[in-house]
Amino acid sequence: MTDRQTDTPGRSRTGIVFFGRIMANVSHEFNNVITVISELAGLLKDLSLMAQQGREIQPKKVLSISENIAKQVARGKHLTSHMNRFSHSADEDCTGVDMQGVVENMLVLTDRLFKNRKSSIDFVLPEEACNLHTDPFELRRILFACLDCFLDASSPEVSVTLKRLDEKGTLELCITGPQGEVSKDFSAQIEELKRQTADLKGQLIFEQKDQQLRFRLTLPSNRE
Amino acid sequence: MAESMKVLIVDDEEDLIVTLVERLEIRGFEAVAVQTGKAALEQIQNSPFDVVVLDIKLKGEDGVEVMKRIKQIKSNLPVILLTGHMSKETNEEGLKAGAIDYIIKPINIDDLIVKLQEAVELYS
Repeated sequence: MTDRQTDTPGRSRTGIVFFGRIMANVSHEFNNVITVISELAGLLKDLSLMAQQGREIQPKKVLSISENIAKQVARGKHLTSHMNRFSHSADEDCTGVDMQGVVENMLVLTDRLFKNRKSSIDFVLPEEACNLHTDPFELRRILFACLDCFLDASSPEVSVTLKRLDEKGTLELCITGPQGEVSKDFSAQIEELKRQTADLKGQLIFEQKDQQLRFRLTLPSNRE
Repeated sequence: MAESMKVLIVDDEEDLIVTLVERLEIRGFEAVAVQTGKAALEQIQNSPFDVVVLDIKLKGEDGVEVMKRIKQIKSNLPVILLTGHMSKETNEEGLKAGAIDYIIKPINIDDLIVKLQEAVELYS
């Protein structure tokens, strides 16, 4: 396994911290899925015992419980599918990436984390394919860091838009939302994000106008 | 006595609380479930409960803060924290903040019932 181009000791640590935050959030969500399935299975057992004691159990009730279990299994599968995608983003440090898929992946994995901050993120789907050649893990890390920083200064409804800017395939991702309370180190966080974005040969611009905030993240179609 | 015990369940996971209410009612408890801290406080202000089962991580709310507000309304109402954490430190923080006990998800219904009964006995 070769060293990732963007790896330095500090950067590796940042990546590990990012990975840990995502996994902590997803594991909490996954545990909720297991808990619901466990309760539903327990209820089926309760009803079976009641039936053994001669009490009438409605077939519709049993069907409803089994459908609910199926719904939770689908929810769990959705989560593990995204966890798998996220985990494999670390396989290569420069490869073809579907940016829409990356955004969707991160929004699924951070849903509860950002909802816990009373934020809702609306992702406006791009009109055309948005592909680039870059480090998939670093891209996710920077996207998460941008959302995390942005939501510290804006709430509750934020929108994310994605589009191709030009014929060369440059992509632009915008995070837009109403201005909230801005912390003292917000400017320092933005400078750090700009530096990290530059590692992907991209650019981050912060705009503040008419009580609205915007991050404009532009990325070249090929990092190399 | 299970027949006279009224339980308030607070968790943002709707499918969980609906099922848990049903399972407790099968066992003779009276159970009410809500999904937010605000709804929990309204219930406690308007109805008598014997014990509260409260998720430590509600969406957009800190369960421990909700518990403290519950205690401000009804200081002698026992609260059992519902947690997904296996971390002893996290769970002990909840106990220090005033919870009488905690139970880890996924829930073992028999363990929960023992804890409900112990909580009510301690405060009666």
